[in-house]
Amino acid sequence: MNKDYIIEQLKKQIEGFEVAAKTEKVGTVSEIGDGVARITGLGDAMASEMLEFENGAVGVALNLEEDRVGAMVLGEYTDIKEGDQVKSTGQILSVPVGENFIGRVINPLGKPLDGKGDIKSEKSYPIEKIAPGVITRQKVNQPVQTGIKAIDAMIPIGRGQRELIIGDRQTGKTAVAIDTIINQKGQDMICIYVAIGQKESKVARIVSELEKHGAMEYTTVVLAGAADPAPLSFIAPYAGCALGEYFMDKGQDVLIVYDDLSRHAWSYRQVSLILRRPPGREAYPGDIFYLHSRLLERSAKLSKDFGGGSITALPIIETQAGDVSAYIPTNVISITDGQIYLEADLFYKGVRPALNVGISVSRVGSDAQTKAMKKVAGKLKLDMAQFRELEAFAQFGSDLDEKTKTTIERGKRTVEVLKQGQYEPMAMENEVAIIYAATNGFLDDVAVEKVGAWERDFQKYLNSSAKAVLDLIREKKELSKEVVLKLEKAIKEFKEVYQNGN
Amino acid sequence: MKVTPTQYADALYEATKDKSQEEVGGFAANLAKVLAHNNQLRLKDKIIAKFSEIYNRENSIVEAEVISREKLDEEVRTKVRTSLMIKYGAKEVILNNIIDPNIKGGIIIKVGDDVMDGTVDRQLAELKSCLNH
Repeated sequence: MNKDYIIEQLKKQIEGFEVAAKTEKVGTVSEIGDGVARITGLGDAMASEMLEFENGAVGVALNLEEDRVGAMVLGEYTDIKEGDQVKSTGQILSVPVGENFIGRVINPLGKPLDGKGDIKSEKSYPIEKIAPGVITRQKVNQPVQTGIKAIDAMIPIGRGQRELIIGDRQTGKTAVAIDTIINQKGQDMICIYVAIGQKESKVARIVSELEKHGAMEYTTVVLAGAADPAPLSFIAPYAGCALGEYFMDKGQDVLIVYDDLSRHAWSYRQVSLILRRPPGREAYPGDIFYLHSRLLERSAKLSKDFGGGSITALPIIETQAGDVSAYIPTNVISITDGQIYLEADLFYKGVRPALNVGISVSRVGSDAQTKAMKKVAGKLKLDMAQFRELEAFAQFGSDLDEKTKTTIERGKRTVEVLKQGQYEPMAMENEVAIIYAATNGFLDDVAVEKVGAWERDFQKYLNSSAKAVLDLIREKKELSKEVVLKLEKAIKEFKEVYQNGN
Repeated sequence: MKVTPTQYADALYEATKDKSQEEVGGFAANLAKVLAHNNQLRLKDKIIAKFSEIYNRENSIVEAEVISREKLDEEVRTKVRTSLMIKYGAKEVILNNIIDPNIKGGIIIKVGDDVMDGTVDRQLAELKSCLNH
């Protein structure tokens, strides 16, 4: 790099530089505070048009009133003064999207937060987009393997589905979502984790955990932290969804986790109240239902003619003291295609993930389940249902008839089998094998408290000595006679080795 | 129901359209009475501003604020006037010249919400941002 070259370049740049005086629409800030500005002028601003403040901050026109515009400011608003000029841009708020965002931590406006340098992008997508219509959609037919036994077996999720994860604080909602992301390795899935109003320390922990498991290679984290202004939290899920739509339009499968939508509703409530929109139930504005329905409706499975991509959404809702009949939980429950209930009681009893399989449902996922899983899951569901019915009698122990006793004993072992540690997602074929073993009585002679250890060794044995069986299940995806025979043989062999070993 | 300044100004314009000077005086007095009765006298400035806006629009008059470093001479004024007449299809252009030495050169023309910024100041700022990228 010599001096002359630099000067030459500068000269060229300056020579080629041209400014045409163009007409701009401007308004004046008449009121500013709490992240919301009121602007006079701007006569022909559009709804949700991007505005530009003098300090470079971006605003979004939300309220179009008779002689002024109410706008939220995305980012720093403390140095915007009354009387500042605001330019309209003629564009609807959009965010940059592209391949380069994979593996990065970004804010809702697409700016990097991980200190790994600028992100180049060629395209930008509007953050608000009408969801794909009926013609473009297809029914959900491919599974999302969460790697969690209880979910894959009993509450299956399909690509393009919206499955709500709901529960009190500290019941492992985020853990379920993160495990699912970790398990997408090699499953041809782009993952987007949208943190809405989350503690930065929590997000840092999640990102490092994802990196440790090699999951950041296909994951983008969109972060609107607890310290960021409410408008950023408000647009975060839409920005994440826009990024997801970019990949869906390219025919790829996308998994988006919205963590969590209760905070999203809070931030929208704040913005709405400051904009003086009338408050309704629980002080939420009137369009709070539409806020979530238009977001979740953008998850879709597109048909082959439209590229065949999909967006699967895992929204998370935090309930207060198990109250699922509050306003926001009921709204989101009614929008989604099923819900996964996590319960504090189960969590403290040591059932982790603390899934309440009795009231958790998946309305469309069973179509997407692999045949092998469907077969073992049917029996599993029945076992669990019978166990729940008889659970109350479990204390009486010896006074029960033989049949009830076996059901209870079987149920206890099934519950043990469905327990699973965090960051330990399991492949589909391993899940099928252990559930098959549990539902077909191979565990009945193992003591309940030893089931956990038994299973761990069983999986080790399968992964090393009986790999052929696993491969067979993975390829065939169904439990044909031949597969069942081989699987049973493997289980029996393992039991012999195991019992001799002890 | 509350009556907004725009509605007052609209009504006043409708009523005074095609009326002679003396009649207009009566309407203005009436409006003042109505405002006093409705307890809305404080809206008078807004109504006046709105009225002149409506009047200008209806009669194709454009009021432009021209900011320049030095006082504009007649030649430039005529140029600005004709170009604005073409741009806005106006019959008459009222120029209001404001002197601001900070803009270094060129002029800013403001018509309502529209701003045409042709100053050296802005061009320098754009060159700066262009070189920064």
